[in-house]
Amino acid sequence: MWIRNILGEALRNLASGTAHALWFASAWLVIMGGVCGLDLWELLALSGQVTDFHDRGGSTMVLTAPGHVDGVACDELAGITGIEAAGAIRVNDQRVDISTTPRSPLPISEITAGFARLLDFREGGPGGLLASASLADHYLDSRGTISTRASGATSVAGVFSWPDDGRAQGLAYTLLSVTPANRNFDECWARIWPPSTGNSDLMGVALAGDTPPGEAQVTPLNTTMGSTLDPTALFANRRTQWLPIAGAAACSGIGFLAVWLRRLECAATLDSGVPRLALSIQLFVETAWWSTLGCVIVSGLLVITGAQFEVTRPDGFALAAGWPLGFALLMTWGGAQAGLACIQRRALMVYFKHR
Amino acid sequence: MRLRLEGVGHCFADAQWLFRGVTADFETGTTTAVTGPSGSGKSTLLALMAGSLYAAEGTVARQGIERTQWVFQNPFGVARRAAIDHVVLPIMAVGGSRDQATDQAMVLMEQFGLASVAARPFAQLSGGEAQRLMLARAVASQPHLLLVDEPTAQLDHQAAVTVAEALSSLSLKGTIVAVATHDPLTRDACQSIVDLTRYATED
Repeated sequence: MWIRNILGEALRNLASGTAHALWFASAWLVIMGGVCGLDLWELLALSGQVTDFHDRGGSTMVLTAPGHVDGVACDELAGITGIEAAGAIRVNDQRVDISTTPRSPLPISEITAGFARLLDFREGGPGGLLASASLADHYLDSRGTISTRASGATSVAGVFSWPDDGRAQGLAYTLLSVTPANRNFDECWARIWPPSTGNSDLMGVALAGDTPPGEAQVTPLNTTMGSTLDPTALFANRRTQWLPIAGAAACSGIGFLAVWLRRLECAATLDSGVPRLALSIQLFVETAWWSTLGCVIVSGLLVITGAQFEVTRPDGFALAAGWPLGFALLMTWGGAQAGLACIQRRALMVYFKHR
Repeated sequence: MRLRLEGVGHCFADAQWLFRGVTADFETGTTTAVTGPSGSGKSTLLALMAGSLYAAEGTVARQGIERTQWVFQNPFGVARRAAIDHVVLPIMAVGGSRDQATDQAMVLMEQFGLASVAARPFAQLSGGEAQRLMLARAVASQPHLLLVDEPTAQLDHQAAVTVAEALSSLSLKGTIVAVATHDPLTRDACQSIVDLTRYATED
């Protein structure tokens, strides 16, 4: 049978409604739309959890060794793959006596330039101190300065966000002064992303040579977020991880059903002398048409949904939605071919009696 | 090409014999009626001739028969496809373009009095038209053995007449045609008769 005639038969079946293409495309759309929707909902929730962990300091590790942290070595940790930023901090005895608060002088800590980068501070005036947003709210005047009793106005170079979200709150009430790194500090902070035990262990290189054994310890900045988080494992073990498989299996069932419901017609076609291969190609074209239609609509809906949620990683989004859809398409086509494989020409009379 | 029944008898499991000792020859170009009352085993005899059942006794000799086509008492087709599509398909199956197949199919449709309904969807055909279309489709596939099972059983008189006329005009050089029927009209449209009442037994 000519391939042109086979395609013609498929198109006639689609155009006449014999293939019930719209019904099966709708069923495909409902199943895979639901599957991808639920899976992406879960992925977005996990993505929020991961972002939360990062933004709330869960991934920022603090190496504490008072007076034994090498500032230069600590800043250089930021050059290691997987460490976004790193810097050292030292508490000193210096205090700033704020003129508007009679009895509560604020401590000043010295930090390296790397530490300042780690804070992602909002630029203020040139030079001066860094202050948390809560301090700035209370004491920063309209000129970008803090009034002190000793030296008058002290300029603030930048303001950083330091919410009370479970992270250590020391920096919320401390002014920070950027100082050269070539001295010893008390702590080395490193924002490690993605979280990695190996990179946490590497922080030991920031210790000065004279550090007594057992003096240093590494802890997360925000202990309420847990000690670590593995985004890859979180993704792989998500609650909806089997949904794409289940959806593809359901689509395979739809493909099978689309052919099996027409078993009398198919057996009669085989009985008319049409080769099984020709019928197989014809059914593939019909199944591919309606399943691809369903897939295109689901993809469109997912793109719109992704835009609504402002997905920051379109490639990851496409990957997450792409393979379940592709897999479901293949399973649909496989189901249809399995349906044909179950139809026997010699069973025509049986199909006829049970029609 | 030839089909010969010799001393053929059949019964199902422990049931009584439907018939015994049927001996008959079926030739190409001849339409043979297999008659008898309901339950006499007409459809069973057709199944034995098709080879889909094995005779409990006797022999069914089939010589040169490779392609067998059935036409059932209830015509079935693809509801939304045009009548002519049903006849075009078996012709296209052996090769050639759709246009060529359509031309050949129209000739057959005219022979069966269906030219005027060629473009009509199958679902809109009358019972008689649908049954004649099944005959036309079966003939289009050029079978060696054409088995027609009670073609007028579900039809009113007028429709049965049109099918009987189609059967009487059926003269296929390369095909053995057997028609199971208890309808006198259909029986009279055939050239020879195998009457199963002659072979009924009482155990």
